Amino acid sequence: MLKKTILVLALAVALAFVFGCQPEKPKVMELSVLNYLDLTSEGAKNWDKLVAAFNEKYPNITLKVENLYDEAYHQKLKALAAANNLPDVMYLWPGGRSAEVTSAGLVADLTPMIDKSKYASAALAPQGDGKLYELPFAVTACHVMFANKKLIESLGLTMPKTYDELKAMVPKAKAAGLETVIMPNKAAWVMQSCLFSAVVGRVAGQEWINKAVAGEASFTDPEFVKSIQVIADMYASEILPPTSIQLDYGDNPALFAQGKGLFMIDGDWRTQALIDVMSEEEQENIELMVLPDIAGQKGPSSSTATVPATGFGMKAGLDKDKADAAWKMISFFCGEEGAKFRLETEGMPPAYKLDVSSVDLKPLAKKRIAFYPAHPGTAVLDNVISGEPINIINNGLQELALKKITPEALAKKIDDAFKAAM
Amino acid sequence: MMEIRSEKKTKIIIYFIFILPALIVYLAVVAFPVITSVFLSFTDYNVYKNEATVVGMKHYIKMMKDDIFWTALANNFIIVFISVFGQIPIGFMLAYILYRKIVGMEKFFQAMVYLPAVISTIVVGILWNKMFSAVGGITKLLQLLYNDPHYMIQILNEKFLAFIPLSVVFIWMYTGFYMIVFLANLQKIDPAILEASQIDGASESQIFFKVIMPSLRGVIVITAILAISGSLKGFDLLFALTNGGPAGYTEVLAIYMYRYTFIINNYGFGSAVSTVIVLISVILIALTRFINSRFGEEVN
Amino acid sequence: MAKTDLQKNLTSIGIKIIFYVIFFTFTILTILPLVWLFYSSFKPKAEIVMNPLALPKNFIITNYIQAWTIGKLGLYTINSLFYTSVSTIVSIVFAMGASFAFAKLRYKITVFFYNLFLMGLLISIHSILVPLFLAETWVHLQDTHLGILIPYIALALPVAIYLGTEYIKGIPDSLIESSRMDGAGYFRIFAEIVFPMCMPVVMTVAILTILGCWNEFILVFILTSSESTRSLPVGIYAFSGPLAIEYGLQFAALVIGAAPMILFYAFFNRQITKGFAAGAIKG
Repeated sequence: MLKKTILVLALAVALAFVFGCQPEKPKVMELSVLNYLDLTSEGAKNWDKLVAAFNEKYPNITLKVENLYDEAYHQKLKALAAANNLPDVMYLWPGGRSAEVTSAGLVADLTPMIDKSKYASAALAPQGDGKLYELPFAVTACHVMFANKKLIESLGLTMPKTYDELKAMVPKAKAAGLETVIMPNKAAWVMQSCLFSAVVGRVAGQEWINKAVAGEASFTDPEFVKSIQVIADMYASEILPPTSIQLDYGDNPALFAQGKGLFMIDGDWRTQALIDVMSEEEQENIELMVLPDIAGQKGPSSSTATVPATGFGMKAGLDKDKADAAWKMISFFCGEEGAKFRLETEGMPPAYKLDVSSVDLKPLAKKRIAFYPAHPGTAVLDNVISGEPINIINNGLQELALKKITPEALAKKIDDAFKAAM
Repeated sequence: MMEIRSEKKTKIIIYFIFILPALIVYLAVVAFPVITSVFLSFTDYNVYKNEATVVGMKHYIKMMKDDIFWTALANNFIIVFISVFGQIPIGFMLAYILYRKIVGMEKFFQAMVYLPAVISTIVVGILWNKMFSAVGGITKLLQLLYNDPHYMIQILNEKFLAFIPLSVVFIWMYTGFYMIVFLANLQKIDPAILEASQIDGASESQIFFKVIMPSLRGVIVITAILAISGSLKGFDLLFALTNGGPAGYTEVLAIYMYRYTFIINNYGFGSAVSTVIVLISVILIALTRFINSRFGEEVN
Repeated sequence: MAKTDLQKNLTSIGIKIIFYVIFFTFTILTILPLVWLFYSSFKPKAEIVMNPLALPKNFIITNYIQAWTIGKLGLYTINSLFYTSVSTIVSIVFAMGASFAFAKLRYKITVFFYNLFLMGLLISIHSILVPLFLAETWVHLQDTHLGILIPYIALALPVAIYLGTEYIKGIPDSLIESSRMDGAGYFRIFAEIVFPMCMPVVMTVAILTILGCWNEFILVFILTSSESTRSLPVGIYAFSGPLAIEYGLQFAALVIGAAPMILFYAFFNRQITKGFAAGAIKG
């Protein structure tokens, strides 16, 4: 009898416990997610693992993900926006590329939800009208100069400290049948994003960029003209060889890894492509640096151009439960769990403040992490300038490479385009 | 009387039943967008907000002032030129050689010349892009020939000369089509006429100019019309081959429109470019109709 | 006399040689890129960049397996087959019906409608791309199968109606009149007499439509975004977008993209040529 009573009591307690904690049936929340992912890439598999980890942590949030890449993503987002049917969570860019959708008031401001102490302050730079529409995964350095130290030393050269020293390396490299800098400039955005922005930041300085973007400085100012002249000089002196303009984006990691050039200029995201094709020993011979200092520069020494990375944002006007679930998803993918995962799988140093010492990394990935504190960041132009002027800059830099326009004329053209767009 | 009228009525109903499915689909896809496009070209349509404010001729004025627009337009005419004076004459010549059986292995050669035309333009574009690229097959071959590992195809960096290597691709891709068309029509010429003129002692050139050419006049005009209209469509190939680069030197109107609309998100401007393309099409239609009525047979 | 004969022979041999050279040039231009593409597709990425002309040192077929699986090329092939077959069949039925009406049920308005369709022969698809994208977005047809089929059918109609009308005009009126006398309705005449007689032109139109739809790129590229709606050319382009680096996969994908049409051509070579001869482009 006693046994029975205890059993009933125990059962009652257990039931009460179960119902007490979950007074109603667990509600399954479905979130529609528009993700930006190249399914043909290596990283595609990692995404699935991250989603699985999320499902484990939040079993009652179901993610309905659509993975799109490149134009397909932008087309879809536009179509959904025009039909007033945005997904609950979507992949966004911090500035230029997502400006249209964020400025239309379709995306929620995440500022009140983000715990600022947990993220690198550079990552939380305002993304237009002082708001944060997406939580960036990382801070991206768009300009990195990868140096093949072993190859440089084998030619009896030393690592360049100044731009002029770099220039002086060209004849020796040429004599050895090597390129000085490998840079794939067939696509127009590469020069602007991976080199020119950093040069403007270095030569003219961030303050000037701020003024120019605000319309208080002119693109015909000597600082800006000089920045263009640096690029022109790099082509003229064949620091950038003539073949550069015909090199496809994607050709360079293999060429650099095989020792066809002393340096490679690209974004920090290319580190992983090198890790994929180089042994650990070879990686030890590679240094991550930036374009050396230029005489008369107004910006910080050894600076690069940085931009908060992409990340997830949520649709404006979600109801409380949905917004709550959406934030859980965003902070999982962009916060601690996502940060750790991305660091381990892709060697991406996260925006989330994370103890990186515990993670086992390849030599080049370690160098990448050490790169950021050593190099102050200035703006990437396509993050602060959008629409047609940036198109003019990209195209103009190609014309410059082909020696079809003078730096002065290009500066004037950019100034005109910028003023017309204001 | 009543019966005839009702039969007439039925007949016209039947007439429309036959043409309506085609007409509705066609108007929905062609006519409606063209009209919408003209309307949008006078506005600052924002696709994200789905709002449009009227801005008048702004986009057209900007287009007229833009160098790249004129480069694109000029490039479209270069493609027309390549088609009309490259693909058609070469296609005709090849067809004639095959028709007169001057060379052997006609079936094989015919197949080889025509083959590129059946492969997807996007595949062809990517393939030739790879061949011309700095680490591609053609570049490598030239580097070996010149014994210079840094050799590059200079011509690709010149504003109008960049089209010379590209025209090779255009000719390679489309000549086969014209060859097949000419060959088909040559084979329709009654062999008895040829034999008769040979018996009469006509020379090869006399046969060509007196017998062959007159019977093909109509086809030549039609192929010219097709070539001109097809040239406005040269998008896929160039999109995959150069994407308008470098510095917009190989831009054509279709890529120009694509860039402004889908990359820069200026739908109003993109619509204005679309409208200009339609206008050019209409002018070309009128022009070719005129040429046709003067020199060719009546199309209808 | 003998001398001029000899000269004639020599020049004709010279001409022959020149002609052979021309044809061989075309043949080489056709075969070499395809051969280069084919053997390169068995090379790993780094070899393609480093030694573009060399034969594969490490012969691998993983490029194909990976391209096929991660590129979802199987699904895209099915989509392409679906778009091509449905558009071809529907556009032929629609076009032959209209052609019959235009050619045999003459009304004054025919001139207007017929010319309206002929205009379509010269209208560039790109001039309607932007508004078509917007219109499909407004009516929620963007990124659907129907949203691709409708423009495909519409764009196939002008050629089909042009060829169909010209062909049906050649069918004697007496044939239709005598059937009318026998009490046959127009639908029966169309279905049982006219359409079967049009088989040669239907074949031609089918081949043109199949080639056009199978190879079409930009419409699907702009109007769709999901895997379930994209077609093979767009799937192949995904391997060579602006950020692509997987050249091995890209080359394998290009071979997969080129092969079906080369095979189609190998099988239907005669029909394609005959199709044109049957009155494809009116002489």
